[in-house]
Amino acid sequence: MVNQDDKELLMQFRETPFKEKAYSAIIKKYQERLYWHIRRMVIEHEDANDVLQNMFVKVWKGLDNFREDSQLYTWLYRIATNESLTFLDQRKRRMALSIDDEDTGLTNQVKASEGFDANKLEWKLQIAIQHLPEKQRIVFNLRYYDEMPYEEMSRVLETSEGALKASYHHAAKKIEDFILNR
Amino acid sequence: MENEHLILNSSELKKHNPYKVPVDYFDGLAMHVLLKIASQKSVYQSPENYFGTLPNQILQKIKESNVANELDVIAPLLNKISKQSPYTVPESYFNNAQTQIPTKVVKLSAQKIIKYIAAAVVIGFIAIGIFWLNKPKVAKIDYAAINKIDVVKSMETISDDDLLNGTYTDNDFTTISTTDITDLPLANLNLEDEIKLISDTDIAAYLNNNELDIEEKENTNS
Repeated sequence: MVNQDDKELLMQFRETPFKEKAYSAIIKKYQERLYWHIRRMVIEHEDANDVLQNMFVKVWKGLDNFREDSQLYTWLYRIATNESLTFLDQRKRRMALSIDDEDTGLTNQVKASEGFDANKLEWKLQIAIQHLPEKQRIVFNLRYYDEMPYEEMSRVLETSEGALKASYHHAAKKIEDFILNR
Repeated sequence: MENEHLILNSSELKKHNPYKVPVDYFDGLAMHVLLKIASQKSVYQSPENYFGTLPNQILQKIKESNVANELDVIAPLLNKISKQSPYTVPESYFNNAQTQIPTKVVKLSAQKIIKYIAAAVVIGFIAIGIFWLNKPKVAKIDYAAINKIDVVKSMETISDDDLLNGTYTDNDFTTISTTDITDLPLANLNLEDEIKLISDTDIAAYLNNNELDIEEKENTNS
């Protein structure tokens, strides 16, 4: 069920005179969390900005049909995840990259980021995350950075809690191993 | 009425209260009232909206400890790394992000217009294609074959009656097999010079003959 604040915002959104004001409040409330979720997936700011804006445009169009049987932010995370995956997939096709090439591409993007320092643990962590398979990467980011409970993550990714726990377990192990041994 | 008055004034009627009170109620009443006053006049103050945000704060702590505890078991090293994102964001990006989104919506509208125009162009091409496919076919004139017709020779084989009645066929005109029409002497004739060579009396006689023929033909038809 939608929390009280979101419920009020959604009610205002459905009333034409307050629509834009309510939507602006929704964006303001969730923009940073969603931005970082997207940014960790697509790496570059410009790409994250594009995906974020596209997803908020899609949400604007679909919000009237939001059934409120899940949390608003769960729904937003799901759209943000799908939009990011679509973006990565399109880029892969555009550049005719294989999955391995794409992972290398993301690693290179991390290395090209402003302030990158290969000796710093937080940057090593970012490189390690890019070496994970796509699904594990998303699960790790949602759990490690967003501290999302498995129950909610299960709604976002439409995967069982057990599978998500296993994914996170494997991902964390691989990352630790990567940092310690490379 | 008189009887009732008598009963109320009777010394025999005791002033007994029919309602009951809990045991020792009046002994404990003062203490209860003071406790209530004390509970309402607390000397301590809680921060504004403290209790409104408390459940979320507690849940947040539980969540954090869960993730941290989980990592302690799986990969303890990750608990020692700062969760601060090393990526940078343009200055005041989040203040401007909201204002950028309507721009994007406008951009999308423009894209939509382009899509409509593109659709209209495609429909236009399809319509033109259908028109050309269904256009009534005009017989193609074979000018090369016409050039090869030996007009003079063919005219000799057709009678005046056939010419006047239009009862000749295309087959009556034979094509030149070896010579081109430009090779014929007629093709090189200068008409003005040739006409000067014909006398006026010859022309008048020709016209008269033909006119007569036509009139005769018209008479026979009627």
